[in-house]
Amino acid sequence: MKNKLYYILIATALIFYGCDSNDGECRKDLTVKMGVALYQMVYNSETGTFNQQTYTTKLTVYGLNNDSILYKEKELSSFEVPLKKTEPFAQFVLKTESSSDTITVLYTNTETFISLECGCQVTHALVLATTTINAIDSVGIRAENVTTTGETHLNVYYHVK
Amino acid sequence: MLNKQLTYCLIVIASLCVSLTVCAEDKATGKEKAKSEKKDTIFRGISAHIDIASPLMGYVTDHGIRTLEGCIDVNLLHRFFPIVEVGYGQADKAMDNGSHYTVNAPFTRIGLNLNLLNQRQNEDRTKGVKSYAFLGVRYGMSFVNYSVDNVRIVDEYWQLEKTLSYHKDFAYAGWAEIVGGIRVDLVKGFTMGWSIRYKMLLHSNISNKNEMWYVPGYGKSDGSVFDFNYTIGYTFRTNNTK
Repeated sequence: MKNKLYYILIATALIFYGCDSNDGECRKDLTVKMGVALYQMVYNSETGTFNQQTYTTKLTVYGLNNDSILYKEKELSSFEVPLKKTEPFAQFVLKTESSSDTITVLYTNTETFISLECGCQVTHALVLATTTINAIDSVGIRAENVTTTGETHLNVYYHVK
Repeated sequence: MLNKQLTYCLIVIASLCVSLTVCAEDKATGKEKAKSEKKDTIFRGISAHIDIASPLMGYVTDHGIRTLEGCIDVNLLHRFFPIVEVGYGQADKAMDNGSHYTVNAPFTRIGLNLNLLNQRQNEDRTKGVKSYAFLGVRYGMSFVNYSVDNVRIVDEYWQLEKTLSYHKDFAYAGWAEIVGGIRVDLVKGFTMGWSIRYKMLLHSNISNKNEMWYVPGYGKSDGSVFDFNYTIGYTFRTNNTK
């Protein structure tokens, strides 16, 4: 009876140790990207006001001075871009078939230690956004804190054709 | 005349027998009382044990973790076993991503084990406890100097990289444990025990407790922990429990 109890205890302990062991692999998604939504301000002659409408266009998006293209000639009304994790600004080129604009975003970075396996997560707080004015009319910060992926943080307003 | 003398002799012998019996009974009762009183002392023994599972499992599982711990418990009424556990733990762990964690710290736990077996022999006495199953609680604490080095922030798209380090002296962690196990008598006072523990981290004085990857005496700080101890040691027993 005593021996049986020992075996049960040994087996239980080994199971617990087995469950507790960690292979050092990070299983958390620490990706944080800035969400961008495209709009046009359309004048409504009946009401005499400007209405914000979702704008879809064929875009090529990439970081300035970066060879890697994020989106290539895709029909987009919104997209996500990665901000620089170690610098407080990032610039992106938004290219349509006829023109090209560069968006500049200034922000602060916050590094949060997640775990030894995963390292740090870098989140951003948007301070300022500007743009060249070609096809794009203006940009506006919609949500300052870029802490997750899947939200819209920046609105881009295109000229009405 | 002879009959009278014989009758007197018989009466005297009978009286002696009765008085001896009564005396013997009195003595026996006295001994019983003394024994009973002796058995009713609160303190019944003290045990000193060293854990051999922690260093062994640290070596087997290759976590870069080394722990050495021991405990002293006191037997009160064969039922309650107040216990103090002390130890020293160190971790030196490098992850695949390059992060490196080091910690060296002593720890201590205080608590109580409750003997689950019925030790009552009759109304007045309890049996001597040598082997028993127990359930217990602990409060553990550790003051830790830790450092996390070479935490890399890699920005794949922009091809940027940065390395961070975190260091803290006198970081404090406190935790609670629920313990279940057995203590078994081996030979001539030598005893051994098994125990399984469930640990919950209660509090610490650092804002981001994730930085403290491993707390000596507790384990990895990212959640509750199951742990296992196999102890071996010596039990000094009072005379009435031998």
